[in-house]
Amino acid sequence: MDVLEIAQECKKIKDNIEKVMVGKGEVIELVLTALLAGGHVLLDDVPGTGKTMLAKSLARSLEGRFKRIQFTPDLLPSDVTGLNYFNQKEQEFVFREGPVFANVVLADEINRATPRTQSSLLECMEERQITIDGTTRALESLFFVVATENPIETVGTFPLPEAQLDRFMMKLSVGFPEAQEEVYMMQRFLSDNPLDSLEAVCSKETVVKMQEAVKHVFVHEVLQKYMVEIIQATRTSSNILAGVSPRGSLALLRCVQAYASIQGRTYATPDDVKYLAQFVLPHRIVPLASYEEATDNRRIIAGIVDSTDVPVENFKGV
Amino acid sequence: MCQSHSLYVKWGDNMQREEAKFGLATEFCGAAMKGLVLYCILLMTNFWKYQEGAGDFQPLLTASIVLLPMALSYIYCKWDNFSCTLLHVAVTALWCAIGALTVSNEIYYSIAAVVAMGESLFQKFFLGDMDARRYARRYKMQNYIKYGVMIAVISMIMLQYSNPGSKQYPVSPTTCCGYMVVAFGVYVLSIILYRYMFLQYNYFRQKESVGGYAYRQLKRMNVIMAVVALLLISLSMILADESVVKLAEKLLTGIMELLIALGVTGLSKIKTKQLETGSKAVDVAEGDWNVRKVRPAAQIPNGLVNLVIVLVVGYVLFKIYKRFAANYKTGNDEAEYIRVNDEKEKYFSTIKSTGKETGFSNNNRGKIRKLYYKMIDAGIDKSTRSAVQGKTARELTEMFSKPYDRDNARKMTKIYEKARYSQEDCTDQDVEEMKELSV
Repeated sequence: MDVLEIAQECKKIKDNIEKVMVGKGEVIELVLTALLAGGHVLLDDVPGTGKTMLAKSLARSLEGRFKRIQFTPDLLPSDVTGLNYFNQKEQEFVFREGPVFANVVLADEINRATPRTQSSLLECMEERQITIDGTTRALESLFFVVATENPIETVGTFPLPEAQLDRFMMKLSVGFPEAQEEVYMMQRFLSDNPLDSLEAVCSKETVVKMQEAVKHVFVHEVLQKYMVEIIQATRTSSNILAGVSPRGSLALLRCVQAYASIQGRTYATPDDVKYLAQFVLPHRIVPLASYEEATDNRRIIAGIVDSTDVPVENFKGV
Repeated sequence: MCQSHSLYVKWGDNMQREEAKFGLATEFCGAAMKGLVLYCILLMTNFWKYQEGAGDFQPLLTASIVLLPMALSYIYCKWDNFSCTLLHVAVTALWCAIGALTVSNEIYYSIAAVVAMGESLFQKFFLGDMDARRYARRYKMQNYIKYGVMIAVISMIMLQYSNPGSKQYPVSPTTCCGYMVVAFGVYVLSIILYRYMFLQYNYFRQKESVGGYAYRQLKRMNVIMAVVALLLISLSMILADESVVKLAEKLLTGIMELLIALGVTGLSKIKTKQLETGSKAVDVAEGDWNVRKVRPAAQIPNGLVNLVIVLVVGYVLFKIYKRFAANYKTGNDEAEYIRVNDEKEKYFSTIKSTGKETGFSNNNRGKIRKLYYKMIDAGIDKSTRSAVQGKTARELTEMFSKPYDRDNARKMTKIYEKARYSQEDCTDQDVEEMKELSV
């Protein structure tokens, strides 16, 4: 599969989602980037902006199993992963799969569950497998978690631990629509819910093929060094307690490859790095500040990216 | 860390070795060149003919004629321009007063002036030397004085006006032309080698003048200097042809007649030669140009061929000038130039460039990158240039001061990105498209 085919497939998915989501092309593209890069997405925004709608639209657009988990304070890890129960009729333990055994999993309001339950996703998100009662089970080859959280309502919520945040390839905000876009949205939802009539436009096999193909997108050595410079700067910055992990470097690399292929390019550019750094890196750093101020991570990363030399030409003489 | 340290040490070792090698070679070439010039001047002053009893010069006078300009030339290199100009004027005036001013002396200076001008132009166009431009402006007046004095003195000799008591023959315009042409050729030829070695030597000493430039630029400049010098020599040989010299003679004679008619020279008629009284006096080269009789009809094809050759050589020189002048636009105070930083220089294959590469290779990829570099140089406003660092190619395009240029710039940026960040081959078509867009 070449990049042009990837670009076409992604356009098809994007157009399909845009039948429901109005004016959110950029976010859709970023979600697709994370999907092709083999990562997971955390949608962080105020209620009612369309986070769940976006996840559902994506799931509908792809052929495959979709599962939704409503995270609540009383949710148990076994409710996520599955459990072995004793079948009295058969007189044996039988494994009942949890919702993670799907292709697209929507973890709605993930910060409402306890850290114990949140942590149940660690293994499956990173290693695409789940271990229950000593037995390890592989998940589907296409496994994509879209989690949502509400940043303003903190009462009765549990902020995601750093280890869990690091598992998400990107943290995105959907944002409010523009006035005109909101009018279009009303018109679409006037008599019907377009989500109900949404059909799949891409098979899960195609998505897996695309995930493999994006790994062949060329990233020049100077760009690799550029990325490392940015990552290193987060580790040495005086404003940051803990910088981006090597997992974060790899996530940025994969995202850059995926994004370039969605744009129909066989190579990445510094613009890709600069653009994606603001979605891939901020949630991976721990600034020297309180939790409230930590929401400004994106600005810290933007400052670092802006102060890092881009590998263009040596314009000292200009 | 260790690897970069060892590379640095290796670079330093290589530098020292190359410096020592080229230092010795430079000394040798410098000595050879000075010897060649000395020989040329002695030849022109008929020194050996005097030894055979046929010359006109005393050995001591000849030595002073030859050595004083040489010493002056040496001081030129050590002192600043203004002091040298004053010294030159003073010595020239003194020599005029004592009647020791000779044609060889002035020929030497004239050639030195021409070569110096040529060199500064080479440096300006082929290295894009910012300092050379700055200093050229600063010393503009001094250069005018220096070259003005030289031209004045040569004119005075030709008019036999300033040195009536000289021991040497006042020369005719024809002889002066002949000497000038031959001496120019010999001098330029000798200086090619010397300059080559000198630049190499300074490069490896990391002297400020050339130490900061890409090695391949330096090599290219040397090659072009050699080609241009050879073309100039061939041109001078053509000019030495009888028909051209006769034309020059007629021109100079006309000027002199005009000056005599105006009463400027104090002479009543033009002297074609002036023999000194004494048994040893002989005619000098002047006769060679005049005595030979050629049928006028035979001169026509010869003259045509010469004319064609002159035009061809002139055209080639013009093309070379245009090509490099185009690379260095002078619209702003600061023009494009390419410098390299220390270990980023790619002369030694053991040293790898990290990140930004400053020298552009000669393949399509390099050409596209260079064109893009020039586009940025030309398109971005002076006031916003400080913000260039840390910007991507596309961001730079959006910084263009003229909005109507942006469409082309965007297309160029796309081609540039392919050349800079991809593995794909860059075709001639890409280069052509880039050139068309950059117009």
